[in-house]
Amino acid sequence: MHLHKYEKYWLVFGVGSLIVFLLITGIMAFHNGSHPPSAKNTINHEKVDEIAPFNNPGVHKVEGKDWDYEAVVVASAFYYDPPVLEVPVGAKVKFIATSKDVVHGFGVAGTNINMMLEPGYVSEYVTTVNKVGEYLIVCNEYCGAGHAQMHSMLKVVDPK
Amino acid sequence: MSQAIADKQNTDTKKQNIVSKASNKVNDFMKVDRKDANVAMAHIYVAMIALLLGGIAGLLQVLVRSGEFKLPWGIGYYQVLTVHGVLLGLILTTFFIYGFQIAAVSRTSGTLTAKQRLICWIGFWTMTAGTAMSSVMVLLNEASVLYTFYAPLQAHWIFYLGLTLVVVGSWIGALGQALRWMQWRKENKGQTSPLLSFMVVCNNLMWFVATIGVASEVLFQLLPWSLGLVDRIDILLSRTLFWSFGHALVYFWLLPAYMIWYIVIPKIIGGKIFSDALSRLSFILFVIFSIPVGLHHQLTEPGVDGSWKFLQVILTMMVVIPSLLTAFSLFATFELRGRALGAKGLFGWLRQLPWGDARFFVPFLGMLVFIPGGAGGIVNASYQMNQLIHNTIWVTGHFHLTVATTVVLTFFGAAYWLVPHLTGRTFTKELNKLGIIQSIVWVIGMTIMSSSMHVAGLLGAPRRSTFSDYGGAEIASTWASYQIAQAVGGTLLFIGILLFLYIFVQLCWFAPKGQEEFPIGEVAPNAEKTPAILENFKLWIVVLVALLLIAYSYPIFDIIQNAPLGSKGYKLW
Amino acid sequence: MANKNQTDGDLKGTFYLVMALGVFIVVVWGLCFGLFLDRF
Ligand code: HEM
Ligand SMILES: [Cu+2]
Ligand SMILES: [Cu+2]
Repeated sequence: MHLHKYEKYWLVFGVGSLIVFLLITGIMAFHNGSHPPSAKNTINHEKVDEIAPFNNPGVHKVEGKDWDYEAVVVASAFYYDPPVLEVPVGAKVKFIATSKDVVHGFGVAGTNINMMLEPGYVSEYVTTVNKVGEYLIVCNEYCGAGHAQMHSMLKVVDPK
Repeated sequence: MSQAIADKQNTDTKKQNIVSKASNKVNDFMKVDRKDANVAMAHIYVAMIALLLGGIAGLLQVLVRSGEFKLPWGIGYYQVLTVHGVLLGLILTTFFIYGFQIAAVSRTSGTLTAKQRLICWIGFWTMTAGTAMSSVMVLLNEASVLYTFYAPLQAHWIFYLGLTLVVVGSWIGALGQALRWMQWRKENKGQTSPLLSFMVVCNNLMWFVATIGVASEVLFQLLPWSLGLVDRIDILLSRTLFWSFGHALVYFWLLPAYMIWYIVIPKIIGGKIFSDALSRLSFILFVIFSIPVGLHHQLTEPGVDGSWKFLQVILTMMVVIPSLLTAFSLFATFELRGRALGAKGLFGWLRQLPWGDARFFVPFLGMLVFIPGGAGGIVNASYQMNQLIHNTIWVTGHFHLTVATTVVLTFFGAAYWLVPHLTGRTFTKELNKLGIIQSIVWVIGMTIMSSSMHVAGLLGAPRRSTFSDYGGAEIASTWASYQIAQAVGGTLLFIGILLFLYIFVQLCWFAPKGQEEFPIGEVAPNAEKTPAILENFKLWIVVLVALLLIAYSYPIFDIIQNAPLGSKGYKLW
Repeated sequence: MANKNQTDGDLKGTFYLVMALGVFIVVVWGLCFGLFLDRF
């Protein structure tokens, strides 16, 4: 098939850009560990309240792990438990969340923390919270009549 | 306009004589047969009703989200949003596409046989009955589950059955169209089939393979579960099956727009199709790569391994390539035409294009809007960057550019010749002017609505959400100010819908009787022959199935293997 | 197929326009990537 000379240049540029995008995202993912939330743990969603760590929602300091804090969140129609998460700035935090009923979202406005919460699955995301501020957490997956009233707050504070 | 058209039809007829000696009914070719026109128009009427009702829903949404307006009579926001998504995302698109495609096959492969036409009618009535069933359940507030109907929110089983009928009806209609193309191939052995019919068959093939996933979800999961035959449902499996269809759905909308760009627009501007072979190549690439990419809608979901998501991200980038080819072909068509008319300089040819012709101008605006639309789409698909925008109102802004502008404006521009061609009327100068105004109103409205959606989305504003002050959070008041802008843009869009429907009504019942051309471009006379391999669907189906197996068999096996306890149904609206 | 008689020079304008389009895509992507890196 004959391709016009300029069309060849264009395809080289276009396909080249796509390859660069893939290389950058791929290196970020497989070298720097920056994957979107893809945890594979499952849970009995009807017994979430009895199963650790969800039997104790909230922010906990942990030792001997790759991260300093665990922020444990239980979502159900139409609220998050706990309603406020407070972590010190600079801490490496693992967010661990699940749903007790339907599918919910967990989107922290102004950050990259954005994960789906599905009944039966545990969603996880690890990040270093490096900017002080109050970040609104919203449910960003339609879950019923109270969907837009479902929110909480992430407070990144300066402990000094 | 009619004199020019008559001339064009004459030259067209000569070409047809050369191209297709097998058919003596050359004149029937030029004009879509009355009976075929009736099937096509039936589809288009339903599409237009969906446009009106869905448009009203859209207007209500932006008004509610501005915070200044409350829905009366206990109507729920999410009920309205379900109406909007189903009617515009699924019904308007599918019905308009089938109306166009039936006419396109009849025009380029020849009049349908009675049996083929009957199959198309059966498909039409099946889809329409399904639409009515689902709509009634939504209106009764038994199905406010949005057009993606994610479990474990559970709608009434009639809602799911209705959607099943829409899909099954679309298979029947697709078969009716494909049979005509197959007949042409049998009657014209060894010849390259008509390009437009070939593209229709590509789109239908992709649609058929893609809908197998969603049909399995509905038949084996949602229907038994909503009927109470089974208690629990595997959530992640249902979502994965849904999205194995969901991305192909957007290409099912887009490919008919590409057909119009590749084949109709060159004729309208008086040029030639840039390349038959490259057009076919890009459609084949769409068929192959549109389906095994659905995980890019599930990037932030638990339960699926990151590596498998990334594999589908790679395949997603592959499906950008045919769009790159398309961009070049279109500009090239324009430039060659402009230069043939004597244009000088680097961009002088732009001035030669028929800007005053709505049949060109309106789809052209659609093409332009596809540039930011496509750029946004690449961002969405870029693996971890999806966290920036997933389920924010950015996404809504994105597909109002791609579907609700690029595709919709192309369909509007096509309606300006298709509808009068089918109803035996003419697209007058006044209507042409109104069409141009309509498209400008649309683009202004959409620029306002969509860009404020994009910005608010980057600030974290969620999609599919009624007005809320989120407990007085500061960021939420920033979002609210963008929602005012969306209401302004959305109101303009609604005016755009009314303008279009006015033109449509004129073209159906009031415009002067006459002949309007169904423009079909030709390939340059000294073009190379198209490689026969491009028409070898058996080969491409094998490639498609292989890719599907590579992309999906392990993730689906894994999901089933490690499934947690399933979910009971919830009705939380 | 592209017309065999046509010289490649015919499509200079097309080439510039598609390249502008390509640059636009790269720039949008780069801005979004910057935002992603900037956020936690
Ligand atoms: C008057 C014109 C229109 C207006 C004002 C409008 C407005 C909106 C708004 C505000 C939303 C998002 C609501 C939310 O997320 O809470 C939305 C969603 C949507 N719109 Fe439109 N729109 C219009 C036309 C169209 C057209 C022509 C199409 C398709 C061809 C379309 C397809 C969709 C779809 C599929 C959704 C997603 C529904 C969902 O998330 O469940 N819209 N529209
Ligand atoms: Cu929600
Ligand atoms: Cu997609």
